[in-house]
Amino acid sequence: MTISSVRWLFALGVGVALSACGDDGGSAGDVGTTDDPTTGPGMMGTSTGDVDPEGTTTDEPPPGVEWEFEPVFGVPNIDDDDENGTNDWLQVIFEGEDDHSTLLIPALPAGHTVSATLSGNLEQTRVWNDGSFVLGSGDGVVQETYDFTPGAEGTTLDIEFGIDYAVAQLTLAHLDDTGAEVESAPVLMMSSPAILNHHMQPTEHVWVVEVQAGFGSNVDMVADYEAVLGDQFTAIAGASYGFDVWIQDEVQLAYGIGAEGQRADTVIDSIRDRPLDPWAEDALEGPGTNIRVWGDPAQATSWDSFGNLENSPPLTNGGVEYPFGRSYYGKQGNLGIHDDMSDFLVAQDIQAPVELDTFWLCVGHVDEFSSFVPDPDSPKGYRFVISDVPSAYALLETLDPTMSLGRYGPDHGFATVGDILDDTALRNLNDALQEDELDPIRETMIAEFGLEESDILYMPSLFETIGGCGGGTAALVPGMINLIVANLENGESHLFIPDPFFRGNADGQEADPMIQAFSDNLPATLIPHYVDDWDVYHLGLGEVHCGTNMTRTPTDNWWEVGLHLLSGM
Amino acid sequence: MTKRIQTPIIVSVLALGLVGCAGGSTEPDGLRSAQGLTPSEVVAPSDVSPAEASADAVAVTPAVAVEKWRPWMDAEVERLRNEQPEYFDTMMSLEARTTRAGFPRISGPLVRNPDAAPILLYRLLSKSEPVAVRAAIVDALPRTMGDYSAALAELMTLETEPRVRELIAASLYRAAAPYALDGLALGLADVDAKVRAEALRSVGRRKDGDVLASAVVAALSDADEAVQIEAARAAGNLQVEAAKAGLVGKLTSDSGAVRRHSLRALSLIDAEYTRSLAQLTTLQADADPKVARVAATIAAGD
Repeated sequence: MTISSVRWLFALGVGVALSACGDDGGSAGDVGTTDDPTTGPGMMGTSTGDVDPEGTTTDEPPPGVEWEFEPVFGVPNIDDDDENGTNDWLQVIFEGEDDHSTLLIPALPAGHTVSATLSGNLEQTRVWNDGSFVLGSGDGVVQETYDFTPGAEGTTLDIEFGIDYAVAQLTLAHLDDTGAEVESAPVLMMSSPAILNHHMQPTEHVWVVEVQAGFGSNVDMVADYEAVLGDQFTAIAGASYGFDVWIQDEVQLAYGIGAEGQRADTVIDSIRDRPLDPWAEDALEGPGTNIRVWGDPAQATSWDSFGNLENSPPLTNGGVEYPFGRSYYGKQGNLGIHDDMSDFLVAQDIQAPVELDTFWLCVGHVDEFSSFVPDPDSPKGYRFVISDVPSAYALLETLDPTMSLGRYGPDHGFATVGDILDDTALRNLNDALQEDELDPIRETMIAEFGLEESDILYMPSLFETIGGCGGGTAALVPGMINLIVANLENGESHLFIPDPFFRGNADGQEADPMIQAFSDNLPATLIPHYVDDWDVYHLGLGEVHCGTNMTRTPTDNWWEVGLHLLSGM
Repeated sequence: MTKRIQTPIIVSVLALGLVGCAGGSTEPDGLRSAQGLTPSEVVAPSDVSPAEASADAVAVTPAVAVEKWRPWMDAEVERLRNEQPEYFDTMMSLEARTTRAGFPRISGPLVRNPDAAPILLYRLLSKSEPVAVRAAIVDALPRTMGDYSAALAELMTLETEPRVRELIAASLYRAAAPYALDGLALGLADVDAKVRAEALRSVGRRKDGDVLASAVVAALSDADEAVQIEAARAAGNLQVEAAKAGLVGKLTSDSGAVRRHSLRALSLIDAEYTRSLAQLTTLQADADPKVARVAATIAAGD
């Protein structure tokens, strides 16, 4: 936020009100300055009695006033509720605006006033009284104090935040008619941190880019989604976005919620800036949803795609509860997801990010080897799913080596199970990946996410090196852990999983031992759908999760369960 | 490394290439002109007309046509133009899609067809396309299950773009001998480190890669770290006994990745010998946890 960017009051013709305020405002209800038209010069401090709302002096003693205030927990007001193309934070508060919070100041005895002092993040907090800016950041100035007289029914201040996780304190001093302090009360004012969704939350809406192109078609996969999700699913026309199918990578959806029922969704727009870049603006931007970018597109790497930004379900680790889980992404030192992005996520405090080493992968995303799936029968209510090489070889060694692997012949060079088993270099590669990469990742996840061995599902997986990728690897068997969890209103949890096609071309899924092994390993309550992602995603070095995005419903109030994590308070 | 080509394994059909390219007399971008080769490298260009070549192609399989891959390609192109014009045109213009990693790739049902190989080779030689697309064409060839082995081996000598040669080296992993090994030998001697590293990956994955064992051992001393790593991995995969001394020397490399892959390669070649190395104790306390982990595994005899 720059100073010039908030010079909106004058531009909108209400600058007179602010310019008349001096250091204490000037709107209706304000008191205490010689410029105040409602009190007139010299009135303050000259009355010996109370003044009723009509200005009549009474001699009744002041009634007791409860001078305690609940904290204000709001959301950043950075969407565009009036759809005028201007960020709402840059505008005067308007009818229909639904992202501000309110603070009711009770009526006071006649002659009594309130002196309000704002501290903390003044730049990103703003207080309005009856449509006039009175405190915080506005019109290029920062207003720290404001004196006023509450109305007969009290006065409702509107509180607005310009950023996620803005923290301020409003100190409200109740002054009697001599200006002496009766009592003072602090009010914590705070906007929601940006919270990433996790796989336990209810699914709201799902998107996939539909393509029928020379490199393949995903119409069958789209049909599978439609059959399960119905109106909760939208297929995006691929031709409109240059057949860029990697919608998981383009945006990360986050949310903020407030204690008055506000919800402010944030689209974290990747700096990858491929053909899907305008989609968020086309489809998601509007009232309730803002779009922001962290990082410089000129510095974008594969790690800046949001298959490389995932979030766990709620957890407790080392005695610390993380009710919104912890986020994780590929980053080591200054390599990995852009510093601006990781700095922002770290600064949110509530999901305490964990860095993983993903540099062994050609694409380098955490969704290529890990996920979380619901399991209501487990102690934590979910399981951590991780790629596992030994279980893949253990499975293969039970199979007939002459078993045909239809699609693997042309696309991977393995016509049969035996071809895979006989490939010493492939075995050495995968054994090394297990020891060097997957085992340490599992240990990190256990250490940082409070997992126990019984929480982990090891899913058979094999990787291969990708030509021209500097030795980087990608899934040989379609990465089945690269899946989507859709939790429906009826309580069902559906998984959309890449069909591994570990079978002959003429065989169906029922004959696929990889599907059998994966399904056997899944919690029984989950409903798996093995969808054909081979041509469109797998051969493009991604899988189902990479090609899907979704919104989810917030389930917990951060101010009730997460304040202990918010060190910025 | 200042010379790109060190190994005189140039196949005799070298100049059958560009000047005989069907449908064009000019070289596409990125390919070195055959006229730029030394006379000893050049044999007379094919004077086989497409029609004549087509007749030959009917009688021979790609596997035996490889030595004269150029006339075979011309003939196949002619045949496919006549018999499957839509498929031919589609493959000539099939767009490379952008992978999740960001580089383009040509794949999918249209590519899974041996007939795609001659078309893609023809496209590579006759159309001026961006380097990334030309690399994608090379990358697609193994997925056709068609014949491309001799062509890629030869193109390793003619291609001027390192990125394309890198993908040639990768695709030669699945190519037929002896052409694959000829091409990979050139790749191991390439001026570009990425090409050398990719060639080592392919050599290390081939069951006959030990034919190039001496080049693998030599690559352990390459100036480039990635090449050293791939040389170590290839030596381990191929169980190159002659690499043991060089690999031991790499156990004190400044690079943790070189130390790790050298140690693992040693254990693949000779586990007992590796466990007897005094360095193994030091490496179990290596500053790089990945090195320490591998060393501990080896010391434990796992």
